Amino acid sequence: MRDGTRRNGNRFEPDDERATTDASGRGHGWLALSFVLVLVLTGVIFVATGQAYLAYEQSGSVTATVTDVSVADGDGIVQVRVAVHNPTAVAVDIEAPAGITGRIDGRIVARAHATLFTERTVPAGGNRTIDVPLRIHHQSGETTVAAALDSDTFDLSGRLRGAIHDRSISITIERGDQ
Amino acid sequence: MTVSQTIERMVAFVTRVTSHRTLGVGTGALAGMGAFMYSNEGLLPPAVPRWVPVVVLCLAGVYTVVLSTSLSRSIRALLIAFVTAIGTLFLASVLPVWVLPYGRGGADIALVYFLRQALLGTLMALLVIFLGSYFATLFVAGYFDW
Repeated sequence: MRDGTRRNGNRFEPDDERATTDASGRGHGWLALSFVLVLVLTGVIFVATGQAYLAYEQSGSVTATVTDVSVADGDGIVQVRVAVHNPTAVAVDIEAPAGITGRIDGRIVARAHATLFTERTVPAGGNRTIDVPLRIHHQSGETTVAAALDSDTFDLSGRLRGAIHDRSISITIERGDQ
Repeated sequence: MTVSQTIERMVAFVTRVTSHRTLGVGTGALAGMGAFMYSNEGLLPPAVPRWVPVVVLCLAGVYTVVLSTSLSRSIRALLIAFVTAIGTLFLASVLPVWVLPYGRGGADIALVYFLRQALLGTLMALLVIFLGSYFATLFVAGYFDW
């Protein structure tokens, strides 16, 4: 501790004044340096957040197109292959199917379940093929679905639920050439 | 030896540069960025903990006091900081309207939407956390005869 500071408790005494400015001047510099450091670090996080903010506002341009629908024998599953394109600057996580159904003549015959789905990440500015399994409602449905696929009467609709960091987005599945 | 000298010189430079205007703009930018991150918490990079925006806002208030050399300078710095913070926040919030290809009508709707979002998320963050930490620090510093 500084003896002078203790003796002259009154800060208006010139001797003490000098001591105080000297001490605070030194501490001030380090404080200022730490402030610049905080400012730079915050700037980096801020830019990353801003990029995600832009990507989120742009998330309507993320597309999901059906590229293939197939039925395997015996497991009661329609395998739907979806190509997801993410033009934004931030990766999009595809978390779950949201109300994806397969219909024949307007009747729902198969439905996607979140439990069958594996979470995938679509890289920034990239594409990713995602498999969405649909469970067929009736055991005898497989042949019906296969027939509907052959005659092109199997309708598919629904959305994928995705996320940019912690914010949810919704991507409508579009039919492509199968 | 040379390293410590360099550091000393940097410190001296930073100290000299930190007038109350520079300080106000600096802490204002910090508070504005903090407020933006606070109202867009879900868009923070996954590696960044959720309390970071609050800490940034608090630090902005604390620095406005502790980097000032007197009470009046600190108040001037705060006024500048507040305006800068609001400017930073609104600019950052409205940025998509200029960067993304909205139609004319879409841009108008989006602008109003972004401004409202910024206003709601932020007045709370700025007023309560930034000003709160500023006054709290001022009280503590004043108590100890700063």
